[in-house]
Amino acid sequence: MKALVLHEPHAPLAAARWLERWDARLRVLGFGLLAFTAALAHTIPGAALAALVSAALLAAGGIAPSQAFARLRWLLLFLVPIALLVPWRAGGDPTPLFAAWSWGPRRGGSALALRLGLRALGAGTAALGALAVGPFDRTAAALGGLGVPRRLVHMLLLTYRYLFLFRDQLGRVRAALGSRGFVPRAGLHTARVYGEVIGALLLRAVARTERVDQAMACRGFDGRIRVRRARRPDTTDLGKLALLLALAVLLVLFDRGVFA
Amino acid sequence: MHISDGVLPTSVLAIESAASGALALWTVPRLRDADVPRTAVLTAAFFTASLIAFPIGGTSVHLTLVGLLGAVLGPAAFPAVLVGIVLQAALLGHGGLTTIGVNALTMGSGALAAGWLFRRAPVADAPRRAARWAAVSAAFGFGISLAIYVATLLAAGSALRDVARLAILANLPVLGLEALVAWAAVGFIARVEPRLLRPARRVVATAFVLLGLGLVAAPPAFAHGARMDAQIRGRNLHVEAWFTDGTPIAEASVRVEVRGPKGGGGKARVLEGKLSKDGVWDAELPPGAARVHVVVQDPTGHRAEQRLTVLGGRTQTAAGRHAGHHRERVPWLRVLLGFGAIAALALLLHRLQRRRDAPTGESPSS
Repeated sequence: MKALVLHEPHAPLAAARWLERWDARLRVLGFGLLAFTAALAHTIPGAALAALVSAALLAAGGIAPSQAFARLRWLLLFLVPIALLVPWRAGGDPTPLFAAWSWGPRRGGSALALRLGLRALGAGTAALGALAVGPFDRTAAALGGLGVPRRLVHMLLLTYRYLFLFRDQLGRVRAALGSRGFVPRAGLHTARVYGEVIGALLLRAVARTERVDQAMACRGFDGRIRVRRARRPDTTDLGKLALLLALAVLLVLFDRGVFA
Repeated sequence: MHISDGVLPTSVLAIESAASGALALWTVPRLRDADVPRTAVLTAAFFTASLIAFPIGGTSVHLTLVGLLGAVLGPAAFPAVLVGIVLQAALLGHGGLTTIGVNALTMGSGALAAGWLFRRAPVADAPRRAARWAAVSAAFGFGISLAIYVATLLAAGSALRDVARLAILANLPVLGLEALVAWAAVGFIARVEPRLLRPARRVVATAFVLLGLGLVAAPPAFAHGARMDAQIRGRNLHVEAWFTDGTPIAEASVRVEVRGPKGGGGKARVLEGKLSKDGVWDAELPPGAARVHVVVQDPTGHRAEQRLTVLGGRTQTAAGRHAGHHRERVPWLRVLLGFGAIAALALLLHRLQRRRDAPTGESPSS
């Protein structure tokens, strides 16, 4: 058993060339819009179609299903209590789902749970296209291009930069704890050890901030972090965005029953 | 304690994202450019610490560390939480893209609340007291976050009530754990580097008061209204009532006043009854009924009423419409007015704060 179990961040999703090379701002915008369309679908067929379209786009973007599934693990875990508890609620139609099982799940509740699940899957899948494709620093810079305040973008970039450094430090702490025979258990001792590990990590972080401040002052840091300016989107980039916009509009129309 | 994409209705998503935006508008401009690298490095440390899995009864949990974050970072805790939420969505798949604002509000409010409490505690040069206050603050901050999380789930509809109950049960042990870990971490920091736990700043108190006001004002926004549809088929009066989330209003009382034609005089005859578990009630109208006033009221105070006029077998409501289905439209006008009110309040407070912080010429240069 490891002395300290760390949940490792995922590496960026490897995608096909058309998705990888797409202007990051337009990619975040297009997939973000698709995520909202899926998340706010009113009907089960609308939510199901949005989920299918999102999954098909990721598949066309060359993202391996195993990679996408690994990323959606927490989302699926969040959906478990909804799938287990909501069907027993009336949710509009209290008729039992199975006539022979009067105390069992209700039709209204089951339909609601299904709709929420499909919406979550559709939006979660589209969100992968927006946030998880390509290097994260490019995605963070793209958020800046979409109007996210400059200081927040700088914080995102620097936090991402130091995240892996602290993770490596924690790895060394894990080795040190293991060599002293520490085994984590549900108890006060483990809470105390973990608390002191976190306290020590924060102190190292503070010491590092001072060195970072000094190093940046030496390089003439004026409070502004220079982010590489993104290239101007070309016709292909705009065409891809137009395709996603058209898909989102069609999904909304389908959800509203325009094609019924 | 993250809410994933797809679970919340538009209105809840919009209101909480707007509140989160207002808190960001309030806290991000207070972060000086020179403070950004320092805050980011500490945010990275907190993010990494939150990756540690704590074993608990055959499974493991991840700590939010909102209390500790608030105690160390103060008002900068909100931007730090916002950055952490985006990173969790992008690198771990926690939370979601559409719920970034909702999750930032949930965790960020807890961090601000914990920071506010801790920085008011008399902990200078007293490591043990600092550790105890850190535990209390962490529990308080986590409690605030849990309360907002549960309120958000409840606001999403009564169908998620059981999920909200489960969330409370599952998170209560985590609350204790957060307090214990904060106690150990701050005890360690207070012994080794007490200057890290800086004194209070008024902005946190102001933001916390704002948050409290927001929470007090939130229940009316989240409350679900009662709706009904009454129809006359032949001599039968059919009443159906439901909440705005589509749940039937079960066993609410129904009172019907039946009158003759206008100008015909005569006393109103009253029919009374109770809705079924499916929110339905049927009754036979007395002969000569021309005007019908139906009132549905449940014990928790939800009330809906409808007036009908009987015209030769056809039924007409006073408003001239029947509810065709039970889904409510999003009250966009009210949502926009809410956005406007939040934005105006945030701008007003921002201006007041800037005016107060403006240099007077007497302060020493730094």
